[in-house]
Amino acid sequence: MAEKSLPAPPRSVGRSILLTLPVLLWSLLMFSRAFQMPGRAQQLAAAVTLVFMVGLFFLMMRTRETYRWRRWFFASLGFLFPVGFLWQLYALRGSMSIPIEKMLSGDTPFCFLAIPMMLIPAALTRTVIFPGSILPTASNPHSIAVMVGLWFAATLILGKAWCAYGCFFGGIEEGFAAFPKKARIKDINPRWRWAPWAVLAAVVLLAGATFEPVYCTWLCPFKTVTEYAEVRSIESAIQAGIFLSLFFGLVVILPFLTKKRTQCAFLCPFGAFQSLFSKIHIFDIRIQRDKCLDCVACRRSCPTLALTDESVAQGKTLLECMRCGACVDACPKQAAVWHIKGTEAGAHPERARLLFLYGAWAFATMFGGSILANSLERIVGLVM
Amino acid sequence: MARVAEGLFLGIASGPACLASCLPAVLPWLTTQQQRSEGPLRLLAPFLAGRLAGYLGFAALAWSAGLLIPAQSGTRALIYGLAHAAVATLLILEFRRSRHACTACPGCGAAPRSTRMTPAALGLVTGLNLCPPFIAAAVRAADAGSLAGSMLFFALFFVGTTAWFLPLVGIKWLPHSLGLLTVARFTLLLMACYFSYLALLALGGLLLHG
Amino acid sequence: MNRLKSILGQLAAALTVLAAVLTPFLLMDRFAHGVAATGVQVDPVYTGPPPRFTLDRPGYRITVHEPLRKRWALDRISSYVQITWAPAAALPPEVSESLDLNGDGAPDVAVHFAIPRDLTAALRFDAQPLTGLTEPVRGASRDNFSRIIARLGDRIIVRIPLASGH
Repeated sequence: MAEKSLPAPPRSVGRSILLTLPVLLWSLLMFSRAFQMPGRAQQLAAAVTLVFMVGLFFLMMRTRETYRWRRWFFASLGFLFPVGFLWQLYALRGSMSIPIEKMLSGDTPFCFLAIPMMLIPAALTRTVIFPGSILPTASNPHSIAVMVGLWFAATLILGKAWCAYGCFFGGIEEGFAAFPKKARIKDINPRWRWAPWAVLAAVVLLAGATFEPVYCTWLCPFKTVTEYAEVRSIESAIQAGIFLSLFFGLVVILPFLTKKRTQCAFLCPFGAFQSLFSKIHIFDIRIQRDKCLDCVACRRSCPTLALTDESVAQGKTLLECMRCGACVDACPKQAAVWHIKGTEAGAHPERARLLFLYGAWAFATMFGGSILANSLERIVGLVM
Repeated sequence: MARVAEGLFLGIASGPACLASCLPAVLPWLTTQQQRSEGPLRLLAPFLAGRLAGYLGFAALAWSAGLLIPAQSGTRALIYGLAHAAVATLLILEFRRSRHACTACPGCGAAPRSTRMTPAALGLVTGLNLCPPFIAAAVRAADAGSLAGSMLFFALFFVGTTAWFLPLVGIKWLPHSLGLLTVARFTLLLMACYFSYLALLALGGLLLHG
Repeated sequence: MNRLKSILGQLAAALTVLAAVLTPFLLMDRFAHGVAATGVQVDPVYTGPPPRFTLDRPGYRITVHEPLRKRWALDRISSYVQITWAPAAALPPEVSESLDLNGDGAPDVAVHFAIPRDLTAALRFDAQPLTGLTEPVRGASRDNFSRIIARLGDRIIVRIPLASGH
């Protein structure tokens, strides 16, 4: 059993508040419009979300830990996003299924998961293989240009960390993975971590050949909690069977049994796509070899199998690292540290962590926070 | 002379469509083979030879049948179905063969070499795409005054499309790794599933509706 | 050199924070406009091909669109031609039209559909080919993107599959 060095003492309350102040000001700015709205439900939802986000950041500063507080936000986002989204769907059309008329009108809200599949057809024919609209409309504010623009911004700020601070789908798995105290399945063949890359290659190539967003039509498990094409044929019934099986298998059951984000680690092509930006993202996690005991606590704690024995020996995480902070918090010797590329590993880890978290939490508050507030408003409105 | 040029230019214009249609099957297969010590063109040559054989064979068929075959939807469905089933079978065979990867040197993972027949067969069946440019070429080839003219037209169509396949030799310079081989193998399996489904649709539809 | 790399790294790190702050006010909007400025369009399989010509009728207009043809070998969409009737409110209860689709003066297809009073009821159409340009259609409703009749706002669109070879 690795001897744990004494953890760093918690930061003083005063200093923690000081470091949280920018996040508080940012959150007030983000939710100011909601506070000016006449609806009590909207104001209350905004207030609760603000306190929640600022409170979690304060705890990150006070305890010097990242993962468990980020997980509270992320799991909440994962479970509440479908509430708001489905509420809106049922209010608009009374059903989760997308009528073909909506696709023909370009009224389908754009999903970022379709981005990798759009590339080849867009490059060859300047067309987007998604039944949405390029610019926002009254009936479809989540247009292609807006969501792709958001994706650009998220990739600049977060890179692969989108999977830990932005993707509401990942929050669902993270929530189920958090329930059990211990994993029932611990040995996972490390070759499976290549599967999302294969799915990415397959859907990109097939989308280029068929002009169809193949992942969306065939594989996306999250249609279970968002929307899906009407089941009008044997083919669409098979597709429904596949996405339901993938959802319950990879998003509910396996995360519960393994305490890993199995859909992200073994299927999601968008996660693999975002991993490509890990090379250029300025923040990463390093393992200081002089402090490391090779106890592999970091590898066991990683939710997406982004650490292997080889990578730990090289002092770094793999491209799949989503900067969730689990390994840093799990390391008994504080050998795993936050790092800014170009600087010496371990030189100023807390500064690296702070700079990363300011950017990531600002994005999380803007994007995830607004989703949380929207969903809470529905619930509060129901109660009040 | 004009007809000669027409075949070549039609091929060049259709190249992206041909490449996009073939890539799902060819790219993962090529990646499992890239770690051999052969030169890059030797990897691609059997595949291209198979495509040429498919094109020339079809040219002969188009000329002698007077273009009845591509026009009849039942026959097209049969050709599609059989071609897709053949692609799926070849991809599954490659998936199984590449399981026995070499692990002699760390990070190597070179897969056993396919026989020359496999890439040629893959080229043949992916070449029988019956995509709109292919049909257009078949229409023009069937108008040729002789069988040789038809085959020459398709040969030049082939040359035009092949220009777009040559960058695939760049695969040779991808890093050798077990990870890349694993990704390629998984992709082969996914593609095999998809092509199997397409074959089932085409042949099943033919059985049900005639 | 190491010091320079360290300074540049920390500068880049600080810039990501700046990017996060600027995103809701500037960056997202700029990126969205940049995407729109590339001129990409939604695949016409969904939104329909551009109009080819229009025919005036008493109170409404018929638009015949450019045909959309199957593009790649594995493209699962069949080639089709789209016809739009607008405004839907001005249409008679039964619509029967013989239409020239390719502008050669000869009618190519006879289209027939009824408009139920109940706006939510499913529409169905028949299309009888007159020149072999299109496939015959009987009682089609919302089969797929290539063979469909749908009410979109104040328009009714009909998509008729083209015959093989067209």
